[in-house]
Amino acid sequence: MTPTIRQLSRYAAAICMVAAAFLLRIAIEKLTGPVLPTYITFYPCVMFTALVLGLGPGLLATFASALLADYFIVTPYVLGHWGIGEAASLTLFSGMGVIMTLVANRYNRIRDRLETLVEERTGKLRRAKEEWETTFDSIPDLIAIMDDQHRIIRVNRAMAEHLNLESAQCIGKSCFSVMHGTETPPSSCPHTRSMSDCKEHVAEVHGTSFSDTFLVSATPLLNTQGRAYATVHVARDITELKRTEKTLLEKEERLQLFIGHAPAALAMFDREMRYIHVSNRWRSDFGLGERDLIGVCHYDVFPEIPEQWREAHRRGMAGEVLKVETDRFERADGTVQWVRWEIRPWRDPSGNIGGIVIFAEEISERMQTEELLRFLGICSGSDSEEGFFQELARYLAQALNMDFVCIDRLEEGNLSARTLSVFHNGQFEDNVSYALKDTPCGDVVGQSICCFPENVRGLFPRDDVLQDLQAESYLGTTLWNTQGKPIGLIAVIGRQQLTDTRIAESILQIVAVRAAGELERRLYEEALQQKELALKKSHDELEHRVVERTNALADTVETLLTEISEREKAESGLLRLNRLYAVLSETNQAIVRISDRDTLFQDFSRIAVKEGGFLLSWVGVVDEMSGKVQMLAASGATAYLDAIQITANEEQNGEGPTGISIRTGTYCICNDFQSDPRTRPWHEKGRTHGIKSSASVALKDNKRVIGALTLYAGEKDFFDKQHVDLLVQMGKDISFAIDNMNREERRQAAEKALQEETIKRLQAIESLRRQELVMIQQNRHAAMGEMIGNIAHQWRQPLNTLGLFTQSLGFFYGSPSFNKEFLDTSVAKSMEIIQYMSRTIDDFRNFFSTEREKSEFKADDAVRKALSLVEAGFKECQITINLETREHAIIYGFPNEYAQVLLNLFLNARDVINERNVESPCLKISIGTEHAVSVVTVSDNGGGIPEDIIEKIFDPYFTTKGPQQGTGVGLFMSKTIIENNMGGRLSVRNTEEGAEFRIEV
Amino acid sequence: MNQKQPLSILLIEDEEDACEIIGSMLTMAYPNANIYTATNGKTGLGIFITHKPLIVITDINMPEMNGDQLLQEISKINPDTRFIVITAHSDRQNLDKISSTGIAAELIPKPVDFMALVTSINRSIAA
Repeated sequence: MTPTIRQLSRYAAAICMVAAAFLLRIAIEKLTGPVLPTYITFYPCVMFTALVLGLGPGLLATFASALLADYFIVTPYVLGHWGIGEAASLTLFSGMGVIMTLVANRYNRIRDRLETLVEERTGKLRRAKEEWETTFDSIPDLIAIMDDQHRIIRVNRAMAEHLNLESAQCIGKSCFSVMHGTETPPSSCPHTRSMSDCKEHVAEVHGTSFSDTFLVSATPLLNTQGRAYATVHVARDITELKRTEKTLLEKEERLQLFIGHAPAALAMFDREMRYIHVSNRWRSDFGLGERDLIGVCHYDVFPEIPEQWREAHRRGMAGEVLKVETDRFERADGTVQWVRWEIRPWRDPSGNIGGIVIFAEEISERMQTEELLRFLGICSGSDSEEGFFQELARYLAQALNMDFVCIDRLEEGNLSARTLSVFHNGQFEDNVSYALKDTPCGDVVGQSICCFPENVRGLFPRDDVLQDLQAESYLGTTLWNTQGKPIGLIAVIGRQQLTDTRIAESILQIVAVRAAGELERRLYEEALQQKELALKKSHDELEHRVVERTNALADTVETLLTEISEREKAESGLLRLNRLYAVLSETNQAIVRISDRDTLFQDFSRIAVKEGGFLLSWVGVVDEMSGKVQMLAASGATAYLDAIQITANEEQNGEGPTGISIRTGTYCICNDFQSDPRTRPWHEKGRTHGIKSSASVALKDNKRVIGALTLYAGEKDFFDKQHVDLLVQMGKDISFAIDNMNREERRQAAEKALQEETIKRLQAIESLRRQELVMIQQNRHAAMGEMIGNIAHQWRQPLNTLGLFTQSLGFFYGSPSFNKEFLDTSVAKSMEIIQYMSRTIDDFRNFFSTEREKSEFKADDAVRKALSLVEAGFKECQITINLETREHAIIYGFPNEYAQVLLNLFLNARDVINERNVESPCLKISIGTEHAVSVVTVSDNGGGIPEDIIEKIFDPYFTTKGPQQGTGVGLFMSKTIIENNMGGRLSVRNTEEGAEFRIEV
Repeated sequence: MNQKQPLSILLIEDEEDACEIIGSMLTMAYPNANIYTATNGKTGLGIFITHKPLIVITDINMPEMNGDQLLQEISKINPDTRFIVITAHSDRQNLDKISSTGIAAELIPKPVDFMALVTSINRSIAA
């Protein structure tokens, strides 16, 4: 049915309903009369229609009802034509009809929505239930829900199947009867406990068959009061799990057993290097005892593990497999272990590295054994027995780490021993004999091995050696000969306890066998030697005579043979070397003859070609900057050298004989010029000139290579060893000549420089002398000026007096007092004055006359003489002269020069007194002798010489006076006169008042 | 000047001969005058204090007491005293000393010209 038709049928049904209501109205009206309300049946009709058929049919019913009622009931068969009441009724009906329709429509929509909703919810609920049931049934665990009476409320399929029942069959049955086949619940049942305390409980329960094991959990279901009314009983079959677990445990135990008893040091570590497994061997090798290692960090157990091992562990963790055959492990207590180790990573099931396994083999013993074998191997090859015992002693000391080793042979019926080798503290000691009584060695004899690991000193208190050594441990073994008799012993003594006696003993036993063999052989040889000695003696004499004769004969033959071979050699050499000797000889002559280098080179080149028959000979010098070799002289086929390029640098043009000989500073031979790769640049040119071989020798100047001489020959293999020797000799000769020439040049240069220097010096001396002359002249001038001044002083007074005498003659003439007596007196006095003046001049003249020879004179005289020349001047300056003669001194020397010195000192004193305006000036002269030497001191009170110049006052040209007054020569000359001319001494010092000059002659 | 007092001259000269000759010549030249002679400054000063002579003739370079000191001492005692100083050319220093004292003095160079000395004495008397 299409929707349109369904719609139309609904409208038709509405019409029908209205018709039915109308008919019902009519029927009721017929029964009850016309008082019936107009619309009584239509109200329910419209209501019903709207409810059942919907909005459209409802409205149609309302309209149709109103129309029908108006036409047939209000005013029959008339439409409209209403009174107010009727209109109101109609309107009310219509309104009510519409409202009812709308309400019904609304109601219908709500109902429809509710229905849809309910339907949806119901569907979901159903699906959830189905899902839950599916899930419940598909869970492999056995699930049952049970009430407080252990009755089954529900089971899942797995449970039902397990019980071989349908689910429904289980309901209501008690669980223990169904599950365990018992009358009462099992004691372990978690359900009972869950019900009582409302908490979940888990228990392992065995099923009907003993092999089955279940893990049962009971979870209580609580009602609203919080009381448990049932439990969910979940049983998981863990039989397989249990079995696996058991297997694993067994495997683990087996692994533990396997690792633990492995005959190797094995340890397994996790990523943090904590022990997981460890073998017993590991414990014993590294001295770990029984302590619990599992879970302990390796580095806590061995803090001494070196960094490179830690690094190896890290690399192992990174997946590497590492292996070292021999490695040294120094333990914290200082002992050394040798180990061979291997590190492998292990992986967890997911393939990640879970840690490492270390395999470590303690090979110290093996190392020692190897060492022992090696040692014995070496010794087998050794010839000297003495050496063997020494080596053995040294080896034992090192191998067993002991301080003292001695190897003895037994003597005197095994009561004493003589050492064959004593090794103590790293040194061998002299061999001695000692008594075996009261020594551990005495105990050793007759036993295979004797060991005192500790306190050996206490055990043998009478053994001084042990006491001296501070011995603690002792190990000894007997050396047996092949007949089984003791012939010697080995004793090893240490200052520390012997911990591992086993290895030590075995080493000692092994070496003992070897040592015994050696000792026996030696003893045997000794016996044999003694027997042989006698035999040999008689034999020797005969032998000796034969040998003498044989030697004499052999000598003769030898001499003859040598002579012959030498002669042959000499002859061939002579022939071959003749030419080169000629060259050498000529060259040496040239060297003697020639004094400059270029001519020497020229001559050499010429001689080599002329006398030596060389094709070409040339001398080249190397330019130090560029390395180019420049031709200085050449002779022979010089065309070869035209535009040739040769250097001493390391390049192709420097690889020829010339370049090489210059570079190396020796010589270079090229015996096959045409095919030698070194001479490649010159092959073509050489062929043109027929050069087949060449040789070059470096030339040196004072050990520095300056160039080379190069010779070219027209034959291949021209230069043999002797040629080379000669060439080298020639190079040396020429170098020597160059050296000589240079030396000569240098000597000449030095001589010239010396000459120039000498001339300069002479000039300097000359100029100095001239200066000195000038100075002396100046001094003389000054002295003369001084003297003239002095003469003036000396003469002034007498001249005045003389003048007065002369004037008085005229003045008194004619007066009574002018008589003969007056005249005589005047003349006499005048003459006296004139004599005095004349003497003064003589004094001065004498004073400056030079003396040729020394003479003896009195110091007093000299002083007086000098004073006489200056006293007038001193008087004028008010200077008091204080002359003190303590002793009369005789001086041998030049009196005038001496007086000059005095004069000089006096004048200096005067000058300084005047200059400094000294109060009551005074000059003090003292004459005396000291130790047979005349001493004259001249002192003033002028204040002295400043200390800073007192050292310099005797220097030439030193003056404190201005340039007009002093020349600075006076004191210098004075010192020269006293010290140089008269061998005396002139010195100065400052007194409290002034300077004091002291003349000692 | 007190005319009634006789003229008195003090001569101080350390050279005895010269002193004697000049003394005798002065006695000859001034017969009414009192002539005193001394051969050193100290004696000369003693004589001056005793006799207060009008004119003092003195050598300048003398032992015991030098000319300039003497001049100063005497002019303290009697500033009116006339001085005649006998000097050598080389006595420059001493001359400077005298001139620095501000004392007026006639100078007679050595060797002494007696007539020049007399002229100086006369000038001093007149002054």
